[in-house]
Amino acid sequence: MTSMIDNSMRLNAPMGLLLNRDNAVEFLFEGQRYLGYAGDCIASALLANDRWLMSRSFKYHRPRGPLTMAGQDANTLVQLGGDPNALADRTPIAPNMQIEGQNYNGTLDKDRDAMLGHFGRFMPVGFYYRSFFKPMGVWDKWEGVIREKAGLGRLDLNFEPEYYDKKYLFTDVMVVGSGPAGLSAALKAADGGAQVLLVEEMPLVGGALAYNRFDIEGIEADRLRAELIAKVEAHDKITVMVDTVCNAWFTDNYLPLIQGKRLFKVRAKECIIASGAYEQHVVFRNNDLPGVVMCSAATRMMKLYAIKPGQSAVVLTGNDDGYLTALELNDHGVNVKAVVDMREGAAPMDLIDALSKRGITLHQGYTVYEALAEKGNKRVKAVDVRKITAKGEVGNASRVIDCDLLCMSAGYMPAYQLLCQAGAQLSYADDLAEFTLSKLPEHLHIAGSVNGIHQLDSVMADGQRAAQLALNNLNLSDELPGKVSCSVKPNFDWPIFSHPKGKDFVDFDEDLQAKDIVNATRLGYRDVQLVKRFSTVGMGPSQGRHSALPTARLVANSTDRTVTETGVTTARPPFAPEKLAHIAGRIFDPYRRTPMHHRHLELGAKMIPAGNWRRPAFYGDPNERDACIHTESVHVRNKVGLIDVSTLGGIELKGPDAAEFMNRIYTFAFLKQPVGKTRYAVYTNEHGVVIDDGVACRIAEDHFYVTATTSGVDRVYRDMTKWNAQWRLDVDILNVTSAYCAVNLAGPDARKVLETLVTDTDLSPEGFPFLAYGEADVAGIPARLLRVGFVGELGYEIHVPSRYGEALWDLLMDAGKAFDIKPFGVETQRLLRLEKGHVIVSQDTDGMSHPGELSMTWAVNRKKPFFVGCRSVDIVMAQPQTRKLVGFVLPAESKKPEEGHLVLEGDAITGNVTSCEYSPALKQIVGLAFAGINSSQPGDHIYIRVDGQLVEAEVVNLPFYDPDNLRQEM
Amino acid sequence: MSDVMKSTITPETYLVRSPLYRLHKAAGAHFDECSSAAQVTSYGDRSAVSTALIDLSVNHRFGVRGPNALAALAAAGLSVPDKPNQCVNSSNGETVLRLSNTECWVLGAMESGACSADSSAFADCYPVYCQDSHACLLLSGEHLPDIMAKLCGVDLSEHAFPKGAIAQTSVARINAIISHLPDREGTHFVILCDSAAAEYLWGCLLDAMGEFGGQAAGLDYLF
Repeated sequence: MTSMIDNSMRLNAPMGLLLNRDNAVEFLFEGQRYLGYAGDCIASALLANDRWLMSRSFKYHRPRGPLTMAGQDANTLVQLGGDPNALADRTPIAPNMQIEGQNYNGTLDKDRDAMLGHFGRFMPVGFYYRSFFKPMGVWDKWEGVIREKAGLGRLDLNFEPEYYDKKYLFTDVMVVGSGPAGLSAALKAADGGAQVLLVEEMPLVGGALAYNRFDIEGIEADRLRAELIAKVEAHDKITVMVDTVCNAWFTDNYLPLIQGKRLFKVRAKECIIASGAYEQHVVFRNNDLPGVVMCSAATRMMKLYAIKPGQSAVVLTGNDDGYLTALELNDHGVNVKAVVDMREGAAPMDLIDALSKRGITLHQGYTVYEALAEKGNKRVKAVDVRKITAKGEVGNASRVIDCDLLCMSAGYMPAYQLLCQAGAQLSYADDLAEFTLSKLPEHLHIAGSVNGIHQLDSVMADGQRAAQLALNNLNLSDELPGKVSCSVKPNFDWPIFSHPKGKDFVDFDEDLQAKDIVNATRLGYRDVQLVKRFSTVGMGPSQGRHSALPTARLVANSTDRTVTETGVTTARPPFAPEKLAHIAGRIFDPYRRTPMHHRHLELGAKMIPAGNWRRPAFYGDPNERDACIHTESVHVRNKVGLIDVSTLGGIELKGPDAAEFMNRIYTFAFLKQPVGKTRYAVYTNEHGVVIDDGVACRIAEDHFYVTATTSGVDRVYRDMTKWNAQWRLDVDILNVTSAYCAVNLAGPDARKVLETLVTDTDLSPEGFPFLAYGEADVAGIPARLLRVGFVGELGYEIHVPSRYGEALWDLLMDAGKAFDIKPFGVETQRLLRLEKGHVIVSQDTDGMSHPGELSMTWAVNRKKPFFVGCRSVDIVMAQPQTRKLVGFVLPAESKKPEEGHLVLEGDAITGNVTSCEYSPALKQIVGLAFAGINSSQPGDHIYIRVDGQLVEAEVVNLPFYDPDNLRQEM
Repeated sequence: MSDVMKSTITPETYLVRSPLYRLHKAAGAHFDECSSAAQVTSYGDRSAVSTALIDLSVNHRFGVRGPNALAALAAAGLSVPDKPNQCVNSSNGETVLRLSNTECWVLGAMESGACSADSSAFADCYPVYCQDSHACLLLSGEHLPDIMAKLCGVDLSEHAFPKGAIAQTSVARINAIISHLPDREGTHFVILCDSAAAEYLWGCLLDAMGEFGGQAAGLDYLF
């Protein structure tokens, strides 16, 4: 490996505003070691070593080099390690960075696929749409080949995610673009008292002032830039963000900014877009050769990166800016062979004189008809200059001028993307041959060249005008903004010179030539939107920054309409490519933990998600799920177990109307629920569907504490507050889910364990019977005790303020040691409740399950006048029922159905399994399933398809276990 | 209090525990008794730390609501803010947060962690169990608006969120109440969040603070 360190094309300081020449940086390009300076982008560092070929084009694999030096094109897309499609003219070099070109077969310099260019006429736009669809099946054969050739760059599928994040920003005025318009707008707004955020896409402030030449002497830009920057830096109301792209405009000036690995979300009261304009290319044969660049690219090379763009140059222009570019090149030792002005007699005399003094030949009314290339199209070597004889036509007389650099400027296209996203109207002014923007939304303003203002003093004034509008909206001023006009016409009307041999590119991204656009219209795609979709023009990485204007002109011309009638395609976010990592940011994925969470981990729990909580499924080896669950279930049935049920929802209802409110919400009757008792509570929605259930405790006449399912509590709470907004009952509704944690102490020895800790309450079967509610002191912890039997054993739900949760767990586990207490998980609880025939809402119910289907009519009181969903329940219950949730059993050795398996009657699906497990207590498989109404009685048989086989199960009465409830009521 | 005495106190000694105590313990924090629980007094030398995150979850607090809530608090000698989403300090060091026209929360004095009453003292009001439903974190020092801007879509800069202001909003995608403490030198945001999500938000805040050199700290950072 050799090292290229000549930096032979460097200019002396003060050229190279971005460079730190004290800090050399080595990097690798295509395996070759190069040397640049800190501040160099990849492209500039390569250009400094006279390396122009950086990438290959998408379709024809044509050699490509820098075009804009501003990241506005796709000519310099390179691969950075596993990161594809980096813009070499925007990405800074870094020590030992490894860079490769893209889209080649072989090497970048010797691309075997470059021959595709010779077959261009066989590959017109959309050829693959039309070539590979018949005969039937042929696409399958071609698809692999085409996909192999398609796509840009190479993804690293083994990448390690990196840290990206997001941040909000708030400001009175945000100014997008720090050129002369943006700087003057920012200063005016800040002077008026507004807090200003000035955003610049490039690494330095100044916009065109940093690279463009505005006067013959070449001094005005530097002077003005220094003056404005000094003022901005001294202003405490202006915050400047460089290397920051405003990637979209959303309603109410919600503006995403990307800077490095952070996405800023800006809320701006006022926004001023001073985004400038994109210099436009001239369409002629071989206008894509390395060495053919925008005029502004050449000046950026010199001013920003101290690059001498070539040894001998030709400037092709349709405006005065080309003349100034020629002067700048000449000042830095480039032999400017000629300025070719497409206009006839439009240039000012002082510019003509300036060229003349430097001995630069001027051709007015001429154009470059073709760029001639070195072998392999790797660099321009000469241009064929011809007289323009008519719109888009040239004479036969050819003048070939040798050069290694061609700078071109056909005019400008406003950087319209953000404004169009905001709903602005883009219109074509035929007299100016340029697009203008109008109909901006409120609080969005526009200034500078994006507003069609091109003279430097007018640009400054336009920035101040926009700022004045913003200040007025902010009530910081009431001055009327002055009017700003501009007499400069920088756009040449028809900078398109088609060549019979083609390669006259309209869209560099997609290798689209002038004839491709014209042919699309001839195929019937008259609408520019259809032309876009058919030809893919404007769909590449540069998103039409340079192709939109010539495409609109070509479509208009081919369809005998004006450009205004033809229009342009819509610009949608994002403005520039952004990574999914930017959108994702630092992912916030909230989780909740019960106070006992860490105890479960210490005990070896296998944790599973339950909404945004984590719950122990069981304790023990995750690979021994069934064994662990069976062991835990047997332990609860025979001794005592403890489960954390803190994730259960809790809602507190307090006030004079609490009972009335409960009575209206839930299906059961609650007006006469005794204080100190619990009652099952079923909640139906307005469609009569069971959507939640819980246990209601009456703490006092005016005070209820009701539980809800883990996943349902937020909805129940929301519904309760919604309903009471209508009912206006005098009740306070409080979601206390996080305020209380709870455990279920269950098993024959549960009472014995609890009695060791509770001394102020009689826990005997008579003193605290099944379904009782009471408050007790559990070894110093104030607790709510509920005698419930979800798992079918003697059990106590113990609810305590969350701050005591872990201590409660510790106390119970300690007290239970004498009784061999074991923790059990939610999977075990599901098995235990299944044995007891208890339904879990949302597991054993679906979006149509009404109380009748679930055999819950006992929990529905139809004597009371109302509950939510009562009318629907009445209606659906009056209909002939078609299905019912039933219990079924299978022999232990039978194939075990899984949840979701279908229940069939012949070919008809009548239901599905909702729960099924092997029951250690019953030594058989038990389950719940929806079955057809004709197969829902005990003794009936249902047929379940398990892995393709039908399994016959017997319908039985529920519960499976302890049908007389002797165990839970002991 | 000597280091020896501090080292004898462990959070598990108490029935009341902060949802974050394990994180403090794992980081080697020192504890002292406060409100019948272990309060983090020190995370070691934090004198050079510009921004600190302090867990005040075991400090007392209570909430009351209902039509009588504001009057009841005033009758008890507590200062009550004039309008919702404001907080004021009472003379005994408690901070009263007015969250709506009918709801206030009272945070115990920061030094002692104690409240002069609790919700049971206000019979005509409905209690709000914010002692348990919410964890209480204190973000203190510099760069607070910048730190919070990484987590929260509300402008918490000084001009938009002055001392005494409250924002009830989303922080890192969970509900939170942010109060800019009044009458204290420096900037202090009290963040009340779901106690079950305290570990989550603690991690998010530390992550956001890292850019500014912020760290977890104990009460000694303040006094």
